[in-house]
Amino acid sequence: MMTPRQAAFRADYRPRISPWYSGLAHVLVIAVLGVATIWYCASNVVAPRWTDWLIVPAAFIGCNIFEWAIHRFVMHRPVKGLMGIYKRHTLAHHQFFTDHEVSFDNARDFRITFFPPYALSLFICMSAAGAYILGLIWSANAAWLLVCTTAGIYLNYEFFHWGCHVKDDRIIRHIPLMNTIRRHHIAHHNQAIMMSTNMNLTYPMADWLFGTTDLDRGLLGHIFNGYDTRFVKRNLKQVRNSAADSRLAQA
Amino acid sequence: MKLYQGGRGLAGAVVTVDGKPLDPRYDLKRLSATGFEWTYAGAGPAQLALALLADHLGDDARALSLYDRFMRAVVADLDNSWELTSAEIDGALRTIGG
Repeated sequence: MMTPRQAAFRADYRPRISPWYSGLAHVLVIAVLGVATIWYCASNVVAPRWTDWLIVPAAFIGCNIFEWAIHRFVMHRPVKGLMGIYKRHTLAHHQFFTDHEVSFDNARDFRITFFPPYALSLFICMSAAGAYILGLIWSANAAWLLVCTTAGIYLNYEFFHWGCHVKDDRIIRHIPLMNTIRRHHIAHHNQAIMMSTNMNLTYPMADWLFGTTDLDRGLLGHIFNGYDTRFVKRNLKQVRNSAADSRLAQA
Repeated sequence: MKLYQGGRGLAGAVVTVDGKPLDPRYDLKRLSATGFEWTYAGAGPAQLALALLADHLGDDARALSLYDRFMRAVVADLDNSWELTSAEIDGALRTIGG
């Protein structure tokens, strides 16, 4: 059940969303940009060698650690020069969505659910820079496959994140991997542990690797945990001096 | 008896003492370039610990000697939205041997 503080934050935030904002357009821009990037890069892959395909699992693992690191060290920490990301995430997204009420109400709430579309453009540019170097030292096919993989993982990220915040989980709760990350991410929205625990948003591999998970089980158990709560650690961080919920910290 | 309050919101990670903004005391030591934070151990929480102790104790040298221990014992565990009284800070200082 939503606390009065969370309800007050939502009531304060929603009128700030531009009347011109469209949640559907937001999602469509991300989807079209991502799919177009994958299609264009895939169409340039010509007769790849088996060694070229090795970039796909390598990029998958690299992206998993990158996603974890950005979330852990930028989205939840105030870093000079990157404060906008921290403000949008810790000071807004995590006040709007808590483990008491983790769901959006309608498509206008997509404004605080999905990354802004320029984030995907930025990630594509970063990936393209890496691909350029890869093309020089390895092969053009590996370079195109790298951008395909990173764009695909970005879409995967946004889709899974939507699945974490959608209200109706009648289907998602039965979909392997997606049900795992939904439980994992809802636990992350507990404000006692949000600054340091459950930082993955696709597959909780880096959380397992770096010990920032709320589960006490092995890698495969992490990936296919689903909604199972039997392995949740008993010694998770507790917080103190909680303020009355009705108080909203704002200017 | 003073009341210190903190909360995260669109205005930032805001901390007040009796309803007025808490001075981060950069003049004593600049531990964080980005202001206050809490619920973990790090630069923002250290700046908050120093500011809280300097205001509460009124003794800059003592605040400088105790802020790191106070940060780890108290500030690192503060909730998203929190309140601390002078009496609670005194109690925490006794616990950490300050």
